[in-house]
Order: sequence, then structure tokens, then C-alpha cells
Amino acid sequence: MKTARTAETKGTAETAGDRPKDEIYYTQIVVITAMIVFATGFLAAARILVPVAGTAAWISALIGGVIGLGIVVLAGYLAARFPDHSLVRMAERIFGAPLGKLIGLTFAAYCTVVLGLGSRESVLAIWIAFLQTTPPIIISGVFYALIIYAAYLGIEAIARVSLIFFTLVVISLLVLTALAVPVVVPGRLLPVVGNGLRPLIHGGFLAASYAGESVVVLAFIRHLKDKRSASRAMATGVAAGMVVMATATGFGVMMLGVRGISRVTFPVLETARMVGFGQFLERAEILFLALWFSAALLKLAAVFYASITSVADVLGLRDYRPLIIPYALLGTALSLIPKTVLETFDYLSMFVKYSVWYAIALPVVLLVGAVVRGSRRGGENVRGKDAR
Amino acid sequence: MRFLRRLARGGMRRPRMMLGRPLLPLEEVADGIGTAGPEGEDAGTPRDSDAALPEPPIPDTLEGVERRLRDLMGEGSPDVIIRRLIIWTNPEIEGLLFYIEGLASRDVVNLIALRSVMLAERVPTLDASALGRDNIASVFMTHIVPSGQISVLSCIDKVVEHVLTGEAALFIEGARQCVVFEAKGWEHRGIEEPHTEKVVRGPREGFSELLRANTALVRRRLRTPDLRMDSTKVGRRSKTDIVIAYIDGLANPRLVATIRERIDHIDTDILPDSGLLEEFIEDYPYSPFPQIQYTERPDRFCAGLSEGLVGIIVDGSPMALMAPGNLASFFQSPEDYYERFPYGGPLRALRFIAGVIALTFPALYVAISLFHQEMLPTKLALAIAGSHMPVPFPVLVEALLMEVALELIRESSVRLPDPVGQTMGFVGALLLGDAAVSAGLVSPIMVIVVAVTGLASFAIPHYPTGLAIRLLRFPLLFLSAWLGLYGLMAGLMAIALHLGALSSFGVPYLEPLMKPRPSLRDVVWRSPVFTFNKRPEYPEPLDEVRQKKFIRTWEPGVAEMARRESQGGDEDGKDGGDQGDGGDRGR
Repeated sequence: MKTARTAETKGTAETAGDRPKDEIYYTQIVVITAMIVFATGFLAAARILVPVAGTAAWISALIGGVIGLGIVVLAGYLAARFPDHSLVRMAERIFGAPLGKLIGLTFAAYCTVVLGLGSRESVLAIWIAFLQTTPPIIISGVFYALIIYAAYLGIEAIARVSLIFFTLVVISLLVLTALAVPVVVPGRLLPVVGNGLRPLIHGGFLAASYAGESVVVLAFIRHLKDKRSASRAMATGVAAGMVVMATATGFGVMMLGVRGISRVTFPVLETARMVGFGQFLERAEILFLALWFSAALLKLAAVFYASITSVADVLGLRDYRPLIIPYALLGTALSLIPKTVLETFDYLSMFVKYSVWYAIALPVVLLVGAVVRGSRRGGENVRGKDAR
Repeated sequence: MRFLRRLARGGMRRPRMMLGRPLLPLEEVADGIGTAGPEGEDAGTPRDSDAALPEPPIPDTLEGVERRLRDLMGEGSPDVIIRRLIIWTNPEIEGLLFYIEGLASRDVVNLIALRSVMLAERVPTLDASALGRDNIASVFMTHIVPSGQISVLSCIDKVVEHVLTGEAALFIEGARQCVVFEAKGWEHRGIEEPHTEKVVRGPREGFSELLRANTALVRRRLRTPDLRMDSTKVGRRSKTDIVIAYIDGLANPRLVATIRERIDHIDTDILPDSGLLEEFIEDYPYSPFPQIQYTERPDRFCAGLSEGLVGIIVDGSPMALMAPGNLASFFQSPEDYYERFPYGGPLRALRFIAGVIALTFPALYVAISLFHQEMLPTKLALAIAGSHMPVPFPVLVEALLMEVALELIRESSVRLPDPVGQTMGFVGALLLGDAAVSAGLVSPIMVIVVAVTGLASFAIPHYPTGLAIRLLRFPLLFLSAWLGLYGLMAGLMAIALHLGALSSFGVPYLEPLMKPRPSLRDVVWRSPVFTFNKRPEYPEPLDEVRQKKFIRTWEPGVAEMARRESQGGDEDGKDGGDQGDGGDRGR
């Protein structure tokens, strides 16, 4: 008996990574979801969205947010239906062990790709902005050391720290927005629909892939204290995250213009570089980036945690911790696959193009499966009865 | 083997019990007829009386008692007083007074014990011959020895234990039991102003080393009968008294039980201070961050208890512990509450900022001057570069030099007597800083950075938290010299994650910061006291309501709100009445 609280919380010890004391509050889920949505993507989202949607990239981001809301509402429904299950256990419950494990593996693979690309992107941003002379492998190493530590400590620690740093990040973004107001040229947002309606929708689907990353939360949503609020928490998180995305994209366009954005690697970084902090801090973008780095790190730690607990579930391990080091090596290797900055962005745009469909398909398939199975098997799970 | 010994022991006891059954006349007992033999053996038994053995009884003759006591306490200790006396009962009996000089008050022993037993008028009228071996001690307790805290004991080891806490024991010839009465009266430090937690406004009383005085200080402030002070002992040799204080019906019983359980598990030799106890019972002993609050102030202790915390007072330590602790609690000072809230709030926020400065400022300076010069305005950057020109070391070495010097000054001035220590601190810092700059060893800006850091770390009210921050400053310094702001941020993230995983008695270390409203009300900020309607949630108190929701009801607006609230709570359909009241208020 380690804690005084143990007696109160009951944990299902069958799933990997489950310490009885792990519990996450509503706000923490909101924050983690928001971070998963924007923390790595918003640095370069404009560079991916603007070539498609033009000046209306920010509207695309909002459309993406709406699609994302649809995804997380489904995901939240799933979470409420299986309140004590991780995603892999849900899938196994619905489709039986072999197929469920396969779905679990695809989920782990999805998380891994998010992890690899996200870490590559963040490391790249740090490399470009901070430490051009330092070999990226060192930056990456420190990054993964922190992720390993975070994953070792568990999702609860990640959730708590997320809340603190999210507050700081939001403050930093508000400050940045306020400081940017004198520099923006609202006229650059015209025409409102950008390259037309079709590109706008297309951009929306691209942006939805960022929002869709929030399905990762399904891996640990069962730690949420009040399961019925899962849907609302994730939806709030996605909405917050996509508002940040849209603002970042919109301000990027207003400050750099469509053509300017296509010339820079990380538009948000450039916009931060353009604002001044009175006469005191001339180029505060490094401070901002330092804060954003923390957000990216926490996001990737959560994703890392999601993927290793999923793999552990698939393998039927009780504790996910033995997987940490091998998986971290895999993540590092994956993040080194794109050789150049350009290649990184190629991979990124490819991921953005296709991953959204996985994010939509996963909850849909699981839900449909649950409804069909639930009605066939009757009262095997508690919520199955309601579905009939 | 042990079983055999116990059998032998039991066999030895049995005849004595048989013998004791009829009431023997006292004279006979005094002669030691029939009992001297086994007693002699009993007194001679080796001291390794195991826990499995039955409690060693009191020898029947005073010679036996004395021999036994000398055997237990050793021959050479001059402070062990074993005094034979005659009690003027009718017929008179011999007695033996046993106490430790210095622990037991001379006055109490002389006046109460000796006088009442040897000189009192009533004693000669007592017919000792009518009393049996079993009840003579109780008669003495109830009739003769005038003491408030008095008891009869029949086990000699227990008697010695009591005497070693400052009580005095009166053995009576032939009695099966011994009268043990309160006589504590050792020299101790009085109640003084707390040295570590000074306040400008607020009570000046501090705990002292005396457990009873400390519990009295707490009782005096919390007169509720629900205040519980569970007592236990720790230390095989020191047998230190420990009091677990909490308010029944408020503190979470699970928390109390956990603390009790952990204290009961301690099996150590001596416990000189509550600091050791802290290390024995905390959740994460390897973390640099303290997880249990300590205080020297009874007012703060009582405030903690009234929030549902559990207090631990260790005899001999003026530092009382309070559990659970969390990060925010270490940044709070009782003065936040004693001063009016317009000052309390900003001051507390300032302390948090001071914590951040103390942790990061030198590292930030190193990172910026080594990696991110472009962040600074040109003039400042030039000034920094210019001041660093004559310095032969890299910035990191410079920072380390100054930091180590600062820590040295601080450490040396802490151990010195107060006036010297302060002078030492000033002179050391001023002279050393100035000399280092003029010698060209460090740049003036570095001196400023280190000085600000030092000041900031003094602003943290809880000393161990300050120590943790001082300790963590050095790895951050190295990280930022290696990777600039990225390294600094990585270090901060690692610290933050560590904090996120910490817990104190099951309560997350960052808990109050996790809930936006309470944290703004009384964690990072302090709102007016009349808004603290609920206790903090982190100790999970049984009763969350601290005070009435509306207290300042003499204010028309507040009275109105209170009325509306109570009506809204009772029945919802009374909107019309509310409107009317609102109209009244408007007039």
C-alpha cells in the first residue's frame, strides 16, 4: 500500500501500464487533446495548408476542426461505451483477439508514425532556430531521453505537467498575438475563399489530419475520472487546438503573405521573429519556441506512451516499461528517415494527406463493430444493451 | 530454546502466585520469608529478557529491587538516585524512591514524595498491616502520594521506562506493585520566537524541544475536543515520544492510518530530530524536493490541522511536521494570511516568481550569452560582451565560480552566531564580489546575476525547498552551457515531469495547481479570507466546508446575495420575491 488513495480508486489490473493511482481529470484530457492536435503541427501547418487553400488556409483549419470534432465525438462515444478499456482491449472485445490485436497494431503503427514525424519536426525546428552548429542527433537524443523519462513516469505525470505548460503556452500565444497586431496586414487574407471552394474543402481534410491525431487519446482515456465527459473533454481539446492552428495559420498569412509562407520552413517561427518585445527582447522567438518545445515534448510523450501501452496490450504484457527503450530507439530511427528538411516536409504532407482517413476509420469501424456485435451478443457488455 | 526458557520462567512464577494468594502480614513479607530465594535468582537473571518472555515482575524485597535497578541502570551513573526511606505507617514500612536527577524535578520529589510519605500527618494513622501485598501500592496511590499523574505498575522494566521519561517511582517493601508518579522537571529552552519562520505581523510563539509544551501550544489554539494527539514511541534506545495530531472528523482517516502505519514500521536506534522521521516516512526519499511540511510555528501548525493535515510532533525537536505537503505549500508563509490580502496575494505570487528566478536565472544568463545573443537589445549585448572581455574564463566557469562562492558564503554564515553570521554574509558577498570583479576574474554582470539569484532563493520561505532549488540550479547551468535554451528547457521539463510524478502520502505533489479555481484562490494567489469557504482539497478532508458562504452580511450587497442564495436553495419559484428585494436594495 503505497498511497492513501489506493483504497479509493479501483483499477483494472489486466491492462498494461495500469497503476491503480493513475487518474486524469477532465481539464487534463482537454489539455492533452489540444496539445496533441496543435503542438507539433502548428509550426508548419501553414506551409502545408497555404499551397492548397491559399489565403483561406485558416478557414481550412477551422473546417478541419469541425471534421476533427466529428471524429472525437465518435471516439468519445466509444470511450463511454468501454469505460475501462484501452483501445486495444476495446478492439479485442469487439472483434475478438486476432482481429482486435491487428487493429491494435495498426493503431500502434499510427502512433509511431505520429511520434516519428512529430519528433523529427520538433527537432528540426529546434535545430534551425536554436542550435545550427549542434548535430541533430544530440538534440534528438535529449528529446528522446525526456520522452523516455516521461513515459516511464506514466500518463498521470504527463497530464499534470501538460496542464502547467499548456497554460504557459497559451499565455505565450496570446502575448504573441497581441504583439503581432501592429505588424499584420489584414488585407493579405483576401480573397476570403482563397483558391476556391474545392481547395478549401481539400485543405479542410488536410487540416483534419492534425485534429484526427486526437484519436491517440483513446489509448489512455480510460484513466479519465468521469467517463461520460470523455466526449466533451476531447471535443473541447480539439476545438481549442484547432483554434490555435487557425490563428497561427491566419496570422502567418497576414504577416508573411501567401508567397512569403511558401519560402520559409516554419511560418510561425518567422512570425514570432517579426514581433518585437518593446525595446527589451528584440527577437523573442527563441523564448516562444522554448515554450512550444515543451508542448511538443509533452504531446510526443503522450503519443509515445499511447503507442507503447498499445504494443504492450497487443503482446499481453502487464507492464509497458520494458518496451520503453527499444521503442525509443525505433522512434529515433524513424525520425531520422527523412534525410533533408525538404524530404521531411514531403513525408509530412504525405502523412497529412492520408492519415486523416485512418483517424476517421478507426472510431467508425470500432463503433460499427460494437453496435453490430453488441446487438448480436446481447448483454455481454453493459452498454451493449443500450445500443439495441 | 526460547520456549524452554519461558517454561522455566513460568515455573518460577507459579509458586510465587500461590504464595501471594493469602494476605500475608507485612512484617512477614518484610522479613522476606519464603520469597528471598526465588527473588535472588530473579534479580540475577541476565538482562536479555526477550519480548517473548513475560514481563519481569517487581522483586519482593527492597534489596532485590535495588539490586535489580543497579543491574539495569549500571553502577556508575551519579544521576540515578535510589534512596531508601522509612514510611511512617503503623507499623512503619521501608520504601525505596527511584528517580533520575535532572529529569525529575527536585521540588516535586522533595515536596510531594518525600514529604507526603515521610512527614504527612495522615500517614501514621494508616494501618499498614491490614493491607495486602496486592493493594498496598494502590492505597498509596489513592491516599498518600499527592500527584495528578500517578499510576501503579507491576513490571520493573516498565517502571524503569517511566522513570527515564522523568517520573519518579516509589517501591514499597513487600508490595507487588510500585507507585509511579509524575515528576518531570528538566531544564529546557523556553518558548521563543521562531528562528526559521519570522513574520512581521503575527504570533511570536514558537515550538520548543519539550513535547508537552508543544502539545499545550497546539491545544491552546485549537480548543475543540476533536483534537486528537495519538502518542507513540520510536527508537529502541531513545524511546522518543511522538505525537500524531489531527482533528477527528476532519482529517482523512486513511491519511492518519497511513502515517501511523509508516511510523510504526520505523525500527531504529535513536531519533534525534523530526528531520529523520521525515526521511523514514516520506514517499520519495531520493527526490530533491521535500514532501512533508515542517514548521516551528504553532499557529501555522494549527492552521494546517484545521485544513485536514496530519501533524507529527517529535519530542526533542522544535520542528513539527505536517503531511501531506505539496509544491505550493512550500511557497506559502503564514504571513500571507496575517497581512491583508492586497499584500498577501502579490507577495505570494512574488515568491513563486522568486522560485523560478532562483532556479533558472544563472542558467538563462549562460544560455543567452553563449547561444542566443541576438535575443538581447544590441546595447545590452555589447555591454555584456564588453564586461566579459577581461575575464579569462568561459561564462560557465565564471558562473560556477560565483555560484560556488555564494554557496560557501551562505553555508559559512548559517553556522555562525547571528550577528557574526550577518556581517560575514554581507562582507563576504560585497568584498568577494567586488574583489573578483576588480581582479578581472568575473564580469560585473555575473555578480549581479548571482546576487539576484541569491536574493531570490532567500525569498522562498521553506528552507529545504530553497535547498532543492539551489541544488538543481547546477545541472541546469551545465545543460544550458551545453545546449543553450534548449538544454535549459529540457532540464526544466525533466524537473517538471519529476514533480508531476511525485506524491506525498498519495496526494499528488502538484495537486492544488491542477485545479484552476482553488489555485487562484489560495495557492498561487491569496484571495480575501472571507472567500475561503472550502478547505483545500488535497488532504481530502472529511468536512470540506470551512466557513459560512456569506460572512460579511452586514454589507447590504452581501446580505442580498446571501438571501438570494438561501431562497434559491430552498425553492426555485420565488423569483418575484427576489426581484422585490433587489428593488429594496436599490433604494
